[in-house]
Amino acid sequence: MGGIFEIVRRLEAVLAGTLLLLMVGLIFAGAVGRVLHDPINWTIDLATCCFAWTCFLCGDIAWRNGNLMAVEILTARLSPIARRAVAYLNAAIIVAFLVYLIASGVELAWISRARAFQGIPGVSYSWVTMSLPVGGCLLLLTTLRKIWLLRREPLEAAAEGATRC
Amino acid sequence: MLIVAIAFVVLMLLGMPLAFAIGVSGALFFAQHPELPATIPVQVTVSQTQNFALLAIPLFILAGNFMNRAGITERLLDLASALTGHLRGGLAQISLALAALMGSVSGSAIADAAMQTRLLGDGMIKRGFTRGFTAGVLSYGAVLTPLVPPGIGMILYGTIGQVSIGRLFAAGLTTAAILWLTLGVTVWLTARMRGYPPERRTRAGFKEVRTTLRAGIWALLFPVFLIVGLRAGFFTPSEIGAVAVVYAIVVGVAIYRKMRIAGFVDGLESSLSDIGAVMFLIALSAIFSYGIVLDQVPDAAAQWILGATENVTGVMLLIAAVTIVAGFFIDATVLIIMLTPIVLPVIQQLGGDPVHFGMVFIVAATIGNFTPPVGAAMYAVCSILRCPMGEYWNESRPLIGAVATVAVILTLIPTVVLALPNLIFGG
Repeated sequence: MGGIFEIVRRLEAVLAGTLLLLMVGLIFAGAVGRVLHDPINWTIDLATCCFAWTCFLCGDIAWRNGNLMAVEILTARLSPIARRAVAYLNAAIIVAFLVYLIASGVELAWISRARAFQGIPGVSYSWVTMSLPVGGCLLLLTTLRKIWLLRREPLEAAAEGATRC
Repeated sequence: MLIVAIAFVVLMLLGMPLAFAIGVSGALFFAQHPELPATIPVQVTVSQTQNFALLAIPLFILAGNFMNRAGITERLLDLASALTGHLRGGLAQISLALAALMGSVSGSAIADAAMQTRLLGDGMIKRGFTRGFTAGVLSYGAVLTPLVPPGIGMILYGTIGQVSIGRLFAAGLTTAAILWLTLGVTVWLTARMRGYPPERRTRAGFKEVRTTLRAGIWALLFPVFLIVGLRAGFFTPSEIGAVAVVYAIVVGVAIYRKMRIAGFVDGLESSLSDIGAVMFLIALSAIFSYGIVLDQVPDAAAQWILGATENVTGVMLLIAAVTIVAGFFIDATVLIIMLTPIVLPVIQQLGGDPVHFGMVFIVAATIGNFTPPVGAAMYAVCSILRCPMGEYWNESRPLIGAVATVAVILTLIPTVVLALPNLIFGG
């Protein structure tokens, strides 16, 4: 189990990091190009495409690291059993939401496959749209793993595990 | 939309991460409207990430993390000490100065407050500051961070409300300076009353100030360079974000010679997590905003507000008050995303200035970061210092008073906020 998650984690971090640096490079090149009166018009389009993927990949990284903001004022006061129940409830809702995002995302990518990205012929907008369902799958994997860890954790740590793993 | 709003609050109180809470509750709107295609939530979420202006946010976070790895913190700490160490309540003054100077190179106000607490917290308590006051000063320093360019709150507000980011940055600089001064005076008065000592016996000599200034100059020039770059029309805000990343790398590698491969990778990795925390929330909030617009919530809110008063200052104070109360429970980023499209049109309709209102609104939305029950900066600082919440609240009352006073003054006198942006960008 741990091995696969570790590989996914690394691949994801490398991909997200590369895309982020690529964005910096593209936009920097575009800006310098324009200042030197030699504009490169495709840099911004490619950068925003990278942006979509970075958002959702980083979203998963933040979710795994427990870096997503949450309000714990109320749950911290619950009894350990109630806290664990709430953690399960949250996780179940999140799973349902992600499944919906993935399904709709794939559907949208399929419907809009003929739509050209930024009007560039031959490049489908689905390359951008797919970032959400793919990111959604990674988020789903992370959520399922959190549920798995929650099951094996002692009761005291249960609430921690739900939101901050 | 009422059901959506209730669902959001319930999910938030159940401890669900805000990003998911805002997405799930927003999706409920579509469950109520079966005539809308089910793919719209996905479509608007993805479109949000195609907004070129928002691209500035990940870039500035990355630049901030790189700057921190470039050894800028130690240099700014020396400078802060040279500038304010001789004042009453020395270490507290130093911490405020550091927060102000660090503002521009900060990836996240909360992470900054935590870092400063580790750096200065124990020292302050050892010098006789009470635990509650120490926690208060360290956490309230973070009120300055979102206002020093390139604050994420200003970029969000400017993008959503179509307000000039350059003007907002210039106004933010003024507002941060006024807040720093007011908090500084508050700390000075408290220190005088309680006899907290200065950190150093004498004022730093001209030579020391000059040396530390030279060491920290690259971080200090950064906000100036942002505003100049925008004013000259060389760059858009997103482009200047990319330039900022390159600037941070050059400063770290070539000038301070402190950034190595390990620091680069470390900075990149923390940025990924920070970016995810902010951008995933912003992307999913598009689902929520869609319902707000379709249900004409801004119109309803406008009628309600205008029913109370039609005086623009009165409306601003009313909105600020509502924002502060909402901020006790909801994070500032979320508030800016949710409320800007609702309240800004009302202000503009009444002839208010969007830059002026932006400052009042951002300060009001930020106050919740420092107050119970959910203040993120408060939590970060108090957990490191092991300071009970009650003690924190009692001891930090002068500070919240100072921030609230500034908020009221800013609202009543627009010229204070608008002088610098009008000077730089024209009236």
